[in-house]
Amino acid sequence: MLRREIVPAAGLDWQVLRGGAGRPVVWLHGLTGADGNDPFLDALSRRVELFAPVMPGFADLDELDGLDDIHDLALAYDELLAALNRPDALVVGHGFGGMVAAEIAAHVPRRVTRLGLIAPMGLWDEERPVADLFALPGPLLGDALWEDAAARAAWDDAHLVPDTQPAAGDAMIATAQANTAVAKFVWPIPDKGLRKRLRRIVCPTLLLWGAADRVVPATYADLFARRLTGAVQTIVAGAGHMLPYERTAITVDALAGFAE
Amino acid sequence: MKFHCFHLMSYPGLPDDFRDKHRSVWVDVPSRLFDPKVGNRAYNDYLDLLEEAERLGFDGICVNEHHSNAYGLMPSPNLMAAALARRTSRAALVVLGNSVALYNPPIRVAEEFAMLDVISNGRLIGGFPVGTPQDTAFAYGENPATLREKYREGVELILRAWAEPDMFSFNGKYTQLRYVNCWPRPMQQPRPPIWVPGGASVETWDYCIDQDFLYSNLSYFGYLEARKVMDGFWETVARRNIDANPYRAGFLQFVGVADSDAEAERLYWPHVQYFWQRCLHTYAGWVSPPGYTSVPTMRAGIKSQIARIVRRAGSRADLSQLTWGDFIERGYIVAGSADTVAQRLGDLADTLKVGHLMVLPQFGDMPRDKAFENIGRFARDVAPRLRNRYAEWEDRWYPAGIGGQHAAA
Repeated sequence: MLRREIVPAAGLDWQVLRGGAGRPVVWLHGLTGADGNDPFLDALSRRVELFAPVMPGFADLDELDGLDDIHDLALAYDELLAALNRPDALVVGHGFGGMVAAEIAAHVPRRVTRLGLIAPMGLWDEERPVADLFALPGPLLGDALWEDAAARAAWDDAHLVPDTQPAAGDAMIATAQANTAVAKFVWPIPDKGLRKRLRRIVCPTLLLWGAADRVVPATYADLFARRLTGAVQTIVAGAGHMLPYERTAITVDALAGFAE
Repeated sequence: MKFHCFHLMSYPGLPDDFRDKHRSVWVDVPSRLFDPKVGNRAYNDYLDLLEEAERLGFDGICVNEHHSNAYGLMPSPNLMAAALARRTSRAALVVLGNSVALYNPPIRVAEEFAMLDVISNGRLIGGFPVGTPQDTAFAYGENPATLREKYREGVELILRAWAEPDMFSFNGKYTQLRYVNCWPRPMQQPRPPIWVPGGASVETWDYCIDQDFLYSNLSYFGYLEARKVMDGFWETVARRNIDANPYRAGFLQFVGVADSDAEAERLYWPHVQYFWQRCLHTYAGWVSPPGYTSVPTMRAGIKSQIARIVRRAGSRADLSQLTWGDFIERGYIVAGSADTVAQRLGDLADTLKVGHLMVLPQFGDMPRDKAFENIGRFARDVAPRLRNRYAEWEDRWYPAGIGGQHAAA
């Protein structure tokens, strides 16, 4: 089980989920967040020493007051990584979290010695635009995120609160806060100049993608690889944007191996 | 009580199969559906109607702002107000755009409103809407997470630009201007009255009171549904311990007047169907972009007007199965004989306690003659019966120079 710690950095009290032992890995979640019951993080923490910070804003939107753009956010994460004090950690992010991971590495190259990007946002291809996740009501969002029906059903069971439950209102507000936090940094198009900065990333980089990703299409792997020296990419069949949850064993193996 | 003629300027040529072929009247509605020849006729008919409203004694004529929208053909409300400013001389020009965060730099709003106020000899009522999600976050790409903060900063800049006679610098988060110097200055000093069209954001009620702005609710679902919203505003007024002056508040109501209740159904039912079934055919994905609705408002549990639209329009069976009687009973439209309309609007005034009633007499594809007939009947047979309401209150949210003494007769 993961435990929750408070880590002060950059003027914020970060919630960081921690667990496991071994090579250090910092996990930056995407739109769907990270919590103590996360089956993927549980599996990952059985192989590595895991740190999973909750993005500012997810729990309290006031945390975003001093974070106006992706540069502020990248530098705040830089201070958090310094506070975690694992200079040789693999920093890996998923979706929006992948964009953040890349931005940290581009802003402060010496802070990140190994970088993992799972279907990261951050680039823009007009021919294959990144999905507008904020314009997809209800089940359409799920359709975009997931390829594997069984994994989706398991996630929904663990995370969706029926409207009839008293906790439904709180769940709705939590989702709105999470979406607002991400939207602040990617609206209306998740291209905030990373293209210009990718050349600053010189550490070994692993690109992981679900072949059936409908949020950030797998064709983006080449767009990243072309601008990253020494990046290796793995495209996983049968998985969509929620690759870590759809093909957990493959993802954990890849990350644990790359962290060595 | 004051009466204003409001126009949405809907495109009248949406095809019969519009709902089946397209997912929304807004944002992604194909512009190939717009025929400039139809548009030319519509714009001029619509402006004619607003000019006629002045002749009939309406206190104000209202335009508003929408983008990428087939039911609202006014992406630039200031252009429409400019056209009206030169063709009218007595009515207030109620400009219920400008969505401040969409004007960059927002000093543009200060300048153009000042121009309109000067050209019209002090007849401007300026509008500062936040703007709908569809207009702001989607059609104009504004970040919904920061929209309200940007809006408030913009309003602050505009008010300062009008108030300060000397040049100043403005170092904002969203706008930096080394030299702020608004030419021309508004005719009305210190500033024109400001109206804020709101949904049901709890912070907007306090904001309007803090700034002494009029709060208005522009609903497509009538006064009965708006009661909860306006009650929230009046409860805020009471909590703040200020006078419950009905002229602090405005409301938009669809109205149709005829010789009899049965005749009203015959005259207006086709256009009710056009408006509620085609013009309010909107896509649910564009209703609540993240951050648009604040957490306190979410907690207050009041859905915005737009959320109501989609809840109703989204369940197509619902809206398309409503009968004329349902529309009347629910108050989406107040229609019937002059007696019926006067009685219902009296009920509206009692329910919402609003001093400013914006009457929407042309909806959907209603043709010119029918719309003219409608406002003629309203001005002649309905308005005089309600006009003396709230006579005991001073209206401080209307241009002082007009006097507000246009008897509707």
